[in-house]
Amino acid sequence: MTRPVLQIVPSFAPRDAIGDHARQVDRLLKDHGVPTAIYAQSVVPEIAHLARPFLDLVSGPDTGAVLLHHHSTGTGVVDRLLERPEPVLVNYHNITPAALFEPWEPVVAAELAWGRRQLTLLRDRAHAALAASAYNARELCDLGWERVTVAPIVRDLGRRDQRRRLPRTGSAPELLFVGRLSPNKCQHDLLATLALHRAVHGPGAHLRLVGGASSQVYERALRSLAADLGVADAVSFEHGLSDDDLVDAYERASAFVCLSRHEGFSVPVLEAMRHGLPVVALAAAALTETVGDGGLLLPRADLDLVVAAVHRVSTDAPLWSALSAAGLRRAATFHLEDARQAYWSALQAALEGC
Amino acid sequence: MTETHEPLDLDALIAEVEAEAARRRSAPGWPAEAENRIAQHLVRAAPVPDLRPSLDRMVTAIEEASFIRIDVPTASTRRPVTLMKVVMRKLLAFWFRYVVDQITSLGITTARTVRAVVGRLEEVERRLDLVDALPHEVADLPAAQASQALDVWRHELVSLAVAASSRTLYADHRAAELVAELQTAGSDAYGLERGGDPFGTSLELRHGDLLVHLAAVEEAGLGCVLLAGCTERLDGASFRALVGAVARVLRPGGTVAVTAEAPWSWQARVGPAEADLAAGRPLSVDTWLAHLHEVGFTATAAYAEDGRSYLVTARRA
Repeated sequence: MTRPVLQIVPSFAPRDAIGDHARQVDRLLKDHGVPTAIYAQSVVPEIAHLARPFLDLVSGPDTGAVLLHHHSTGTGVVDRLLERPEPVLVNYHNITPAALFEPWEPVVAAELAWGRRQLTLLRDRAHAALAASAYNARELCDLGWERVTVAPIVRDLGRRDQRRRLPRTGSAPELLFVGRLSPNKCQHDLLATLALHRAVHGPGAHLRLVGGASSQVYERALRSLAADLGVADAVSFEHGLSDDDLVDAYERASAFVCLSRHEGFSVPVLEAMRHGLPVVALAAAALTETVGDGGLLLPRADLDLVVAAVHRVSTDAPLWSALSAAGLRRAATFHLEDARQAYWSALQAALEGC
Repeated sequence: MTETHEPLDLDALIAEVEAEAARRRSAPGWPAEAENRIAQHLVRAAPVPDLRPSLDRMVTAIEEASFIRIDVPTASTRRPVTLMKVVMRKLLAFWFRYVVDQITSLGITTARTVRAVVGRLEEVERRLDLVDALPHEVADLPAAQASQALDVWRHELVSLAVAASSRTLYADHRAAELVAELQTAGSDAYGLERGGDPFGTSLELRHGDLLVHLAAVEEAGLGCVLLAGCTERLDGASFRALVGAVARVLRPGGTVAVTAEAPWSWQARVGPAEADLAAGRPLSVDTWLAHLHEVGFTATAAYAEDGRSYLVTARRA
């Protein structure tokens, strides 16, 4: 493959699943000798040197390249892509259902709904699609896409301290969730879990919510809910953690608890498993396949069930160690080199006939 | 090393956790009151889904985003840098203003356009009579008829609510009175009434349209739905929507009960002309049984001794 591949990332940011993935794909393409570049509509200044302005691309002539568009929300980028002569590939990262955002952030909900409508336009224009999970692939197939290949997120999960992890069990568990404060991620259910856990098992449990806010309205509601539930002192809202601090959070916690109703993949779950932190997650959307047999998948988000699961994991040391090991085994299947190979194969298959 | 552990039997583990959760719930020390309080706080924290405020907020957000400050921060720990920033700000102010004016114009134009679109949407809604269609369908049942049916079946409704495993919704005739009675009997019940201010909600008594409310309830979020005096003027589409919504919000094993005036009683009361031309009408017991069965319920029905009202009771598989 020598035809250039230009990646289109509508919003390019560091410490962002899609932004990091695009950077890894950029490296992968260069390692295979494929001319490539990242074009972005908006860029966080910190990494502005890594991307070119999208307008430079669309205002120019046919580049002779393949355009690899990363799709995760409604964006004007798609309208411009549809007008371009180059073949288009779509890397689909999934779109949060608008209904989950509508009551909180109607503007965001409108963008999400727009993004789903654009999937239909892209279906008729794109040569093929790469889906970040089988769940995402099914969504595209249901919309009538024909050429869809599952291609994993390419991510360097970092080196892990090879020393044996001692179970972090006891009567004062520290529950961790990493992900943006967002209605679909249901941090409100985590607060409720914490409150019930403290009511049932005593006031030892703490919760760390790590991640910036996708919705200021939702963040305010969460802080207010924490106060109403009487757990404000037992919850910490944190964002902007350095890589080292994030690793420390994974290493210190007793369990990673995820009650998200919608994920297209979930990198934080993978990171938790990579650091040997037992995962307790709701079996919803793509979480089922991301967690696989590497963690405890709950069939329902009933609070009593979640509390029982969290209590069991955080007090049963042999189980803690077994889940930790299961997570490590699962995370190993997403090893960077394996992911790079799988993505490269999927990309080559998608480019056939281009 | 932990990596050498044998694979876990995760299905067995989940079964153990579920059994443990059930055991704790039924044990004497289970904090049911705290659990109820948490559930109530969650309900209170959830926003009320409504399109109108959403559109208004969208426009407001555009307008707020259009206001751009050009006073770039100049503070620095080093005084020379601060001075340099101040000078640069003054030198570049004319350029900032030029750009900001254009962005502000864009924002204002966009907000005006969206407001115009909102206005057109409202006009379309008004013409289609969508906004008020559902409440009107059930608005004209005389209170006396509804009360008569309710009083006949009141005891059965209370029994069903008390037996429910989780939250009960009662809608909507004399809802405040019935909800108080249900709660006194030990049911975790709340009510819904037509009319009133949908935003002036309390946890015990909500106001608004039944179908709109059910659409906002979480899937399998209720253990029991009791409907009295609110199904007598449904048309076919609303009826099918209601049955579908009830099936969605009820947990497996959950119960729905409907009391309504019998069709023949209604026809005798309103006369043939009105009955023939009515957009909606009391439905026969057979219609309820057939449609509830279709969506997975086991349903039974009984008529009052005078035959003027009936009670349909259905349990979700």
